[in-house]
Amino acid sequence: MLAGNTGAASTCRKPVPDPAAMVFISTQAGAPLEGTFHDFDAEICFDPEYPDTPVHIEVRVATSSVDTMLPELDDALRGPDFFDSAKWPYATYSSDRIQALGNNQYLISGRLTLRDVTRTIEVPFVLKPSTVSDLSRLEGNTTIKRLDYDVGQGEWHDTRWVGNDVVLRFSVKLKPADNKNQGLHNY
Amino acid sequence: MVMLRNSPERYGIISQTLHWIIVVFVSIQFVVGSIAADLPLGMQRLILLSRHKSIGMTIFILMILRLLWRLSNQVPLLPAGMSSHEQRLARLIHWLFYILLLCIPVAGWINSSASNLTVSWFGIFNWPDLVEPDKYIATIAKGTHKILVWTLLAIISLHTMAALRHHFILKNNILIRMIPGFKGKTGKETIL
Repeated sequence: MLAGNTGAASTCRKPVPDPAAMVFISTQAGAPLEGTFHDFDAEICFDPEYPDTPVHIEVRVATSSVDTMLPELDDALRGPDFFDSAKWPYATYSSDRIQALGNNQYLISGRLTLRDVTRTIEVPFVLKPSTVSDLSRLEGNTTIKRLDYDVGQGEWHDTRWVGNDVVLRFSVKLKPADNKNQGLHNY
Repeated sequence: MVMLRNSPERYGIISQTLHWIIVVFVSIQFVVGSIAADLPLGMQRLILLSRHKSIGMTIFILMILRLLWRLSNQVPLLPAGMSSHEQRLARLIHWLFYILLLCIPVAGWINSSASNLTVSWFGIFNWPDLVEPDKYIATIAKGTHKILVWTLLAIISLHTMAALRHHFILKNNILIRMIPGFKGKTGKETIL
């Protein structure tokens, strides 16, 4: 399931489950519309020789777990005009290259798959190392264009009322992945 | 000569303009709101409700200006022929208009905020969210919005019938004095 360079299980970490950690911000009629994906999983693997240097990241988001606090809208987002969760249950991201920028900052280049469209995008992120009292935290954000991934079919193709830009924002605490929870969780 | 301020006999152009703009906007709001309420989720509903919110916030601002103008201006006297009971009723209805036309947009605004939908003003700027997203608050605010709208329709009917009665049956200038340009009769029928 994971790329071969992930090494021993002990060098990988996983996010602590948090339904508010994966946020997206779209726009409706010019105003921001914020939602979350409750169900997602990820694996962040580190260089065994430099345990604070991430070398590979995999993320998988269950698109049906979308929550905008508007049940009617969530149903529409799961439907064929948007994510089509029945056909493509997951959005995935897989890193190809992670570049250290110094000062805990990184730039990841990888493939984002939404519906049946895969595109390479770069995502800057910060990886705060763990301390005695706290786990390490990974956070960052990027902006994608929903129509690049065919999210918004038919009348929703119009970007005047539902913006094309969608901000993706994440902030997760990382815990060591033990042998039991290797790989990505299936929902 | 255009009269900006009110006089004891008639309303000035500012009061008249605010009155009739709000008549037009409230009519549009009722039609747009009713149509949108029955639509399924879709682009059409999104567009109609966005317009409804923008116009509603415009009414809210105009009503604040109108209230300030009313408080800083004299109000034309009511016809001498009206009993004190009728006069009190007329004034009560006028104040109810102010209360409802300020509360209805706010209830709609709370409903939108509680529904996780920030209110935009014609896409030009966004209004602050009044409450955090909360389904219970949204339901209460939406219900309040509707009840107040029905109350508004009831007093619009009363107000309109009263104005027409004064114009056509009692034949005084009470309707004319709210219409820009028309002079009508002046002075004689008012208590001075």
